[in-house]
Amino acid sequence: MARYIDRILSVSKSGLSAQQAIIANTSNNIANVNTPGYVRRRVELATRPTHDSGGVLLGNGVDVGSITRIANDFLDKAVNSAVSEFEAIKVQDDFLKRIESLFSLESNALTIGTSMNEFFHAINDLSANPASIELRANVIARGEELAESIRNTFSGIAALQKEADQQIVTELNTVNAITRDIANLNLAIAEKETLGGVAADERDQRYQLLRKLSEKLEYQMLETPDGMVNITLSNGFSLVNGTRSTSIQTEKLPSFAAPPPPSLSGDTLNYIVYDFSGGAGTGHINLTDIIASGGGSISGLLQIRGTNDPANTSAFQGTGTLVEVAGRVEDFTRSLLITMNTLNLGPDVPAGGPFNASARDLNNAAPPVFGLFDITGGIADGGNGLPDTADLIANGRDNFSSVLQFAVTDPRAIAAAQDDGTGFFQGDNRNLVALRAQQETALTGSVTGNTGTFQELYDQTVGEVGNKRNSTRVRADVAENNLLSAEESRDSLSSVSLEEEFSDLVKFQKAFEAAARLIKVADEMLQQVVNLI
Amino acid sequence: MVRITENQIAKSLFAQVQKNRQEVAKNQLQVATGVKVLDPGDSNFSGTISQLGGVLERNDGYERRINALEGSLQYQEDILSSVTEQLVRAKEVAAQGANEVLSINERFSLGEEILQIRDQLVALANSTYQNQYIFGGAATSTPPFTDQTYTNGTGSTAQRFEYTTVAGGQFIQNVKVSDTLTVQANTPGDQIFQRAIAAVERLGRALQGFQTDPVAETGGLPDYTILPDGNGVAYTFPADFGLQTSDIHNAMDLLDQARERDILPERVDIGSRLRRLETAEELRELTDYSTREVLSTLRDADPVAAASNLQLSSTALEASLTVSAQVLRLSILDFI
Repeated sequence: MARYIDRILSVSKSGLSAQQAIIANTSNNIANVNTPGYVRRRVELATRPTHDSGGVLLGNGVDVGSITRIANDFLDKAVNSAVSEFEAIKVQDDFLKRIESLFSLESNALTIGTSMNEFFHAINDLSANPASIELRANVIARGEELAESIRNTFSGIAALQKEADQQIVTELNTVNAITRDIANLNLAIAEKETLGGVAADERDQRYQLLRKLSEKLEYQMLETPDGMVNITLSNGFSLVNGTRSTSIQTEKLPSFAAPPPPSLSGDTLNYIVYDFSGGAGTGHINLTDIIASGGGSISGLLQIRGTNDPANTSAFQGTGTLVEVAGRVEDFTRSLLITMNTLNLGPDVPAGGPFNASARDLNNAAPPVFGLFDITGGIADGGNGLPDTADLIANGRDNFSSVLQFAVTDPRAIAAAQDDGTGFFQGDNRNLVALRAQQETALTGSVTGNTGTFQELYDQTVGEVGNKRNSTRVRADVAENNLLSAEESRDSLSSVSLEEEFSDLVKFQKAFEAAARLIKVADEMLQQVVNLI
Repeated sequence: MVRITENQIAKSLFAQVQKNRQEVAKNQLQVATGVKVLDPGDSNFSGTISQLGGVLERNDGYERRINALEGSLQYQEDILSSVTEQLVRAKEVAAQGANEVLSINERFSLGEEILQIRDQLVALANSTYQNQYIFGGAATSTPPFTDQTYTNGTGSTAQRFEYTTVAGGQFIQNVKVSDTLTVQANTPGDQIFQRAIAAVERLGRALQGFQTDPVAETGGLPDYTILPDGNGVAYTFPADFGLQTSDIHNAMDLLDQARERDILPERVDIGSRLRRLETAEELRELTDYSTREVLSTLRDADPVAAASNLQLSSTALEASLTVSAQVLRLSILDFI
């Protein structure tokens, strides 16, 4: 008759250990409440199979089943893609914030705009008193200032581009480390899970890594039935395949035929490649454009830094925010080099023949070609004596902005006068009048094709930079909100709630107490049976 | 039922506090600088702001040039006023000399006085402004009127003051005083002084006893190629005493002509140029004012709005901090 008492004891025992397991799991959840990437777990309970005990099917107690990670693939993926989007815009916004300070609107900032106006003032002032050495020296000082602010602005942009390029190299190293770790975790998870159960810790770690990878670049992910994830780029290039990861790298001289990325500083920039020849150094697959077109910080960096089309022959034909802004600055420089210098030479005398400069400086000498603005080392003139775009192209330079300088150092050497054949006189300001008229003349930029006066070209650049920054800031705000709400959805499901854990704790503690009480009851029952004897 | 966890609450509280803090920082900067657009990205109108800044800078340059030109024209007007005085004085002396009661010697000493007036006229015509000769066209480094040697009617060498014919002597400089307006800054000296100096010279010579041969003007314009032949033939007294008197009268007519046809019109012209400068200055001030106004609405922070925004955002920040503290303090542990 005591067979049921045995049953009571064993069922109570199963209850005791089940509640213990659950409380242990609860304590683990509580301990990890702030652990990054931790996903709450639940112990699954199941009734033990009953068996026939003389015609009555009595329950056999409870079994501790598996542990479940409370996560949802779709929510995880939503967070990851929001992360990619946010990081791509945020990195661009950071760079644009630094570009826009080069075009500051503060009234006392030394920008191309203010120094250009000062330069034209100086020419205008000199035109009222062309023989004044002080005013001539002022033109030189303002001209040097203008050249300097152009150099500074352009070099500032070029330095940012270089910084973005170096950041890409660092980020790629992180990507390679992450994919390696994911491949290792894939192996660990598969090994554990083939034995049954869930490799919850490893999965938490892998989730953290996947999220970090999303910060760097956008990828596609597929989980295989054995618990491993495969990671590919959008063109199908595999970064992680089961337990194997593929390293990608930066390369300045890739094996495929392509022009170098549009470099503003002249230093070669990096392509992102996969080297399939295994170190022999000849086989590269170009991954730059695929990564640039996705999300993540590397994509943002590539979009800021600029990428090149195989058809491009000059740095300014590439796409990229920095390249576009630098192109506008270069427009300015080339217009100064061509328009101002051509005018500085004076009209052709006699007209029609090989160009004969008619402008005269205070010593009654003609200005040299590229006399007003120049670059370090000088510009090779095409031989017709007149500066033009062809001379610049023949110069084999990427840009002139970073080396622009004001060529005149001797105040007497500024050509204010024009020789019309009747003789030279000091008070002649006709050449200066021609130069100052440039302030109101519409120009066409030889790089971007934008048209406008110097002031308008500059205003357009400021507007462009401002609009770009404005747009990335708004997009960054939106992307951040998207990210927050994606994380909220995920947290709502997967993160630990202390209230829930504590109420569970109370609940399971009571169940534990009840099971313990049952043992006491069985004991009393057994005692009474013994007392019968 | 939506599950809400501590993590979620902490994250969203943090995001809210951050947002409020950024808002406070932004408003603080606006109140501190008085400007809401410092970098191009701060506004959708940064191109326009840059353009308006350019207009203001150009205006500053115009103001500088208007002031400089005003000074120079005022100075020219002062010189011409002195010239008029000298000519009036010369005419008084001449009127005295034309009186036939005077002896030859007395006329001679009056001639001495007239030649001194001539020297003063030459000095005025050779005035400099900021170390530049004003009336020499573009030849600003050499005096426009110099004592020049020539061969007189009797074939002997003589001296007289004449406008130097150098390159650029007829150059007229125009100064740009606004985007659309230029104002003439100078007049070549021969057009103002040549006739006056010649008339005074001729008068002086006549008084000192030398025949002069006033030549009729051709086509109403002064013929500078035929000048008073001061060292010409001496009068034979007493026979030529009447001729001397009539030469003095002729020279007086010339003085009047110089004053009425050269000096006076130039003074009127300078006056009108000064008025145009004033107009340009008024226009500049107007543009400056309206540009500043537009620029201010685009770029400057409204101090009242900025201050109240700062107050609002500070309150919001305080509220979010208080709420955070309250919410985060809530724990189930206190109730178990």
